[in-house]
Amino acid sequence: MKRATFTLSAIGVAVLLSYGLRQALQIAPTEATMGNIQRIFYYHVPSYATAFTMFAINLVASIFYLVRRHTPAAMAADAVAVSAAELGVIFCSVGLLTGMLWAKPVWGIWWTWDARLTSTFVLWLIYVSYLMLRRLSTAGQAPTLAAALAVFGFVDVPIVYMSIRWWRTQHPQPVIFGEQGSSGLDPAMTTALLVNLAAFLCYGALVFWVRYKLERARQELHEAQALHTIQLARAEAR
Amino acid sequence: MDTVRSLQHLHAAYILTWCVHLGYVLYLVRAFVEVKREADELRKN
Repeated sequence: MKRATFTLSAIGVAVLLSYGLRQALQIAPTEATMGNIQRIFYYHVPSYATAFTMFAINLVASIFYLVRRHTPAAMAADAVAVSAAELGVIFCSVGLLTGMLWAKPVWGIWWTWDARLTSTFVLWLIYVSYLMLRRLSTAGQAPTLAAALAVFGFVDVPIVYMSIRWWRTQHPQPVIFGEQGSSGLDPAMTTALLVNLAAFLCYGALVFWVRYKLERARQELHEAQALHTIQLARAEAR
Repeated sequence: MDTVRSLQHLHAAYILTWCVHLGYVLYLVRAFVEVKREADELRKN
């Protein structure tokens, strides 16, 4: 992506996010029972949607890496995987934090170990452990092990999504893709949600691109450093 | 319905969201600077 294209994309994302903020705080109607605290919904749901998208990208890139790990394209797939996992953790953290801030005034508690919250926390832990494995491991097998962990870790994503349908939970039942087929949301609320969803996905894509470029630059640097060390060792041996 | 506490939580959620995201963007910028510095050092050697 050229610098001008990136700048224009960043401006576009900033405008979309600002519009989303206005939709969420000013235009969307106030919910009848919860009041204004329900407006956290417009950041809470898009955060998780973006996190799940990132984890799905991580899954595809990890499978690609495992299948083609002896080809030059594997390094790019590995960069995609780690970038998506890191962003997924960031968005999932925001989802957890906004959820707790919403829960306290509405439920009277910050946290409860129900199926939705627990499975989400486990999901967060899985991807944090994925990132820690990559960061702390010195062995050359770290990307392969991390890719295998990512494939099994993604199993928790559909469990999180379906948990409120499968089990009785403190967390509310689905309001967007409920069993009745209708959203149950006021059209103005749906608009605010969709605008913020689009804004978060665009912002996620933009930051993902930056993180991917950083990972590729790191890979090139590590290759150059390894080559430099070999050249120095050879010169000393002579 | 709306209490001072619940409005504080609403504002905290929005502010915290952007603090986390801006913090992450700052981390990325610092990481880029670090990689560039190391690459320049390697080129000098």
